[in-house]
Amino acid sequence: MFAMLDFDASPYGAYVWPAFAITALVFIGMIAGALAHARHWRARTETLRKTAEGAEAARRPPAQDLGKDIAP
Amino acid sequence: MIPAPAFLSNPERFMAFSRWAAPMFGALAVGLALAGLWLGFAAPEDYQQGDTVRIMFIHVPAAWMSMFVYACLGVASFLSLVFRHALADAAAQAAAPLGAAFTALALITGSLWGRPMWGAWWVWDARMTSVLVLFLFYVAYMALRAALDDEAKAARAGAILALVGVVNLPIVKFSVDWWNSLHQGASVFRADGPTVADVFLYPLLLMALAYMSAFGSLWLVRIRGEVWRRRAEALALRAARA
Repeated sequence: MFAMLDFDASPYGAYVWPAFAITALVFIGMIAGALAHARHWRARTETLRKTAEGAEAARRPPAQDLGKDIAP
Repeated sequence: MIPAPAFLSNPERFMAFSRWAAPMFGALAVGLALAGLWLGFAAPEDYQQGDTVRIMFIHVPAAWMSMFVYACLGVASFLSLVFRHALADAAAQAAAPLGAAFTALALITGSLWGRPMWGAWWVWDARMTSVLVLFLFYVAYMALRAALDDEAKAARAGAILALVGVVNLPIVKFSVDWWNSLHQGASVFRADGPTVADVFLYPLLLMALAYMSAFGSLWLVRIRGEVWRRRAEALALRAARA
């Protein structure tokens, strides 16, 4: 099946293969960069949200035990 | 006001849309690239260019994308500047590094094709020089955004710079018609149809669609990252004030 493909780039292999290799590297860089950026800020947002929720819960006054007041 | 697509006007809806659209475009890009590469390496050598014709399958889509992404950057900057739309600004900011990467790819792969075919790595040809200017616009946009701490000022300054750079797009496109150029003229998008043989045209178009899908996927991922970054900064600011 692969016999129909022509991977012999001579005498221009020194130009053809680096072009494909650089393209692959740039795409890998773009993918890694985009995923790392998104994952970093998603994790940071989750951490800050949990911290904010914890601080909010700490500021809230404790719930009153109404049962104590009305108990006979 | 210009009606924006629903997912663009609402961050929550955008996040829900992009969660499934980004991987879908990514998978589509992989499939199209595999098909394009298969046809590209099954194509015969060109009678003049020999095997360097295969560089065209990765160079030409990168060159098209460098202009397309800048057009996206320009539209997003316009929406951000005129309507102060936060998601449009995030879209502009997310497009710039991808556009810079595509432009760099176009310049590098073009140079690798030019050395054996023209006998030079680089010539100060109108097309190549205008694409280099396009690359510098991307770099200047990113540097300007990074240099300003105030997000609103950075968005406004970046949008103005991006819109100034839009002037360069027709120069890139028509440089081969307006000036005597070593670079070949348009051979695909022509009024009288493509002049490229089908055996080269089909892999070229498949690779162009693959690049477009890859950009769609990566752009959505980067915009999601920008939305989270802005949420994180808003939460950090709120925590600092409390």
